[in-house]
Amino acid sequence: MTDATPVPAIPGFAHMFYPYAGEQQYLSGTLAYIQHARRAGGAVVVAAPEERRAVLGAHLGGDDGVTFVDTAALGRNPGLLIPAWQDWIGQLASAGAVHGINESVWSARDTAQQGELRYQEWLLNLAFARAPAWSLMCPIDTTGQQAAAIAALARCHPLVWNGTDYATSSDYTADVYAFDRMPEPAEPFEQMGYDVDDLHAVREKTTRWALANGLRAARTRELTLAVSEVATNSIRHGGGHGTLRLWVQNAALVCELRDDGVITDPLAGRVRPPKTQLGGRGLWFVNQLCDLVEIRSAPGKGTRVRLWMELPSDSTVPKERVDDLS
Amino acid sequence: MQTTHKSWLLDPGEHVCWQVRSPQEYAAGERQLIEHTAHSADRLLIVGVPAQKTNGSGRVSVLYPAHEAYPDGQSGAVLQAIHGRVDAARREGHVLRVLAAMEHVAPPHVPLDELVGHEMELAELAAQSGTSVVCAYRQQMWEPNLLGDLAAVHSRVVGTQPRTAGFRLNRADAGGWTLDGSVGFESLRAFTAALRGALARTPRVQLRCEMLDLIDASALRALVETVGQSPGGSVVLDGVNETVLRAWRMSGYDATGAAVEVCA
Repeated sequence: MTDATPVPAIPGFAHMFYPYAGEQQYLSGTLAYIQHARRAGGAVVVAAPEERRAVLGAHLGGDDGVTFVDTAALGRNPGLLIPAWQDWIGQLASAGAVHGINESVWSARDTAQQGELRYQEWLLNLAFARAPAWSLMCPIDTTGQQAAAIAALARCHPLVWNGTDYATSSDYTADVYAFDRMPEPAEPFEQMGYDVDDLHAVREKTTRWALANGLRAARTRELTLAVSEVATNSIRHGGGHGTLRLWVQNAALVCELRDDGVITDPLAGRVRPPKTQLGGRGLWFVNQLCDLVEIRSAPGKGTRVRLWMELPSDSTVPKERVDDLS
Repeated sequence: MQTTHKSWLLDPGEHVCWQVRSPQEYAAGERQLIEHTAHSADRLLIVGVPAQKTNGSGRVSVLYPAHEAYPDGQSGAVLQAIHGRVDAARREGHVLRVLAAMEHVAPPHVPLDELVGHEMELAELAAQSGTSVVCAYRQQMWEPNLLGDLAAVHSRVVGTQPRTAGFRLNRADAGGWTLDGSVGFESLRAFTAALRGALARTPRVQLRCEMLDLIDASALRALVETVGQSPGGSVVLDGVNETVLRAWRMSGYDATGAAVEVCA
């Protein structure tokens, strides 16, 4: 997995992967990283689920150089990871270099969620390529994980942490990300074509369909806004028209929009737009609003944007709503 | 939507956009409006050339701009004349309904902003005087996209339904304006024109948004840009739902110093 070449200093953004097995190895590796980071100077940010923060906090005592943030507060969408780190680094920029631990929750995620989370790990390298010096260590518990899943995650990190130091990873693929295959829509699905004259109809159809399938009113408005933003991109950049498909899958509503355009910037909508920049907020809205956003775009193949919105666990279709829609 | 007798049951203060397909439809609608007016205590002012003889009962009067108020091409003069007739009727204790053939109020080649400005003045007249105003647009005279945009600044459309703009900007009873529906990319031209029209009437525009479903990223940008181009102008979106508020905060425009306030 590594060529075991020690990295003597942080060259800009140092993004490393830490495969560990069990809590003891987790603790020794993360505490060593924190010590390493503290010696290098600057602030330490630990973004982890509550139980991990509790364990680390107990071992660190009152180290006021370590800031803990809750990854659960980010919500389900892996697309929120990059802007969250933008914010956390921004808040500590005056402290000099920032060293982070980024522990995402991988359990209780389906294949699509896990695939997108891996992609976000890979995109971190692009998002912070020109950022001031900082390092980010991503622990992953290999216990019970398939080797292929660990290997896929290794390909997203230029460095690997071995528990005491880091080295370059020969597994990292810098140029092209190998996406998971996106399965065809589950049956049955609804479909409509659209152009600029149909944007209002696209919103109406999405709203009626989402309400009829049990999504709450506020979330329905957010889904409708997200669909409208992607459809607008089809009009403006995707050849002026597109196709909308809607279906229910795994207790979630899925809206897929296809058009002939190509999204050339993989970070489009993934990073917070500068305040001075007017425009360029459509995909940013989409990532903020949905529980999962999958984008596949390539020359000759066009663009597919798949938006997921999870249904509430007590979701039922209220009778009065159905009556309203009839 | 077909025009029916029911279409002409006008509420006080209504500002209606009538998109007319044919001279026959116009004549039928005018006749129905005259009949409805005859069954009320109101009176009717027809701006333009009536399609039929008015019966001289005094309930129907005619303002023929080419002869009376529109000799020098100043469309604003027609609006002044309408204001004068409505005020005179009020002084006499009557409510004067207005049916305006819009080609007599402004020439069909007039820019959208100017036309929207006229419409907002008529909306204000309707709201403040309690009269109802029907703006008749003969489809063969006006560009289809223009008719779609104009529907957004009326409280109701009768006749052919144009490509919908998705939103409506209307005069509120208590002053200010109401913004309803959804404002998306397809509505930008109409939305920008309506904002400019409102800002031209008062620099601090209050929009009541209880019936606003959503406003997309392109419309928020248009809002910020339009207000920025209006020296001393500001816009308040009041009573917005959580989605609109969230979109505004996500946009980051609140931190740019734009003279726009968005509140629940």
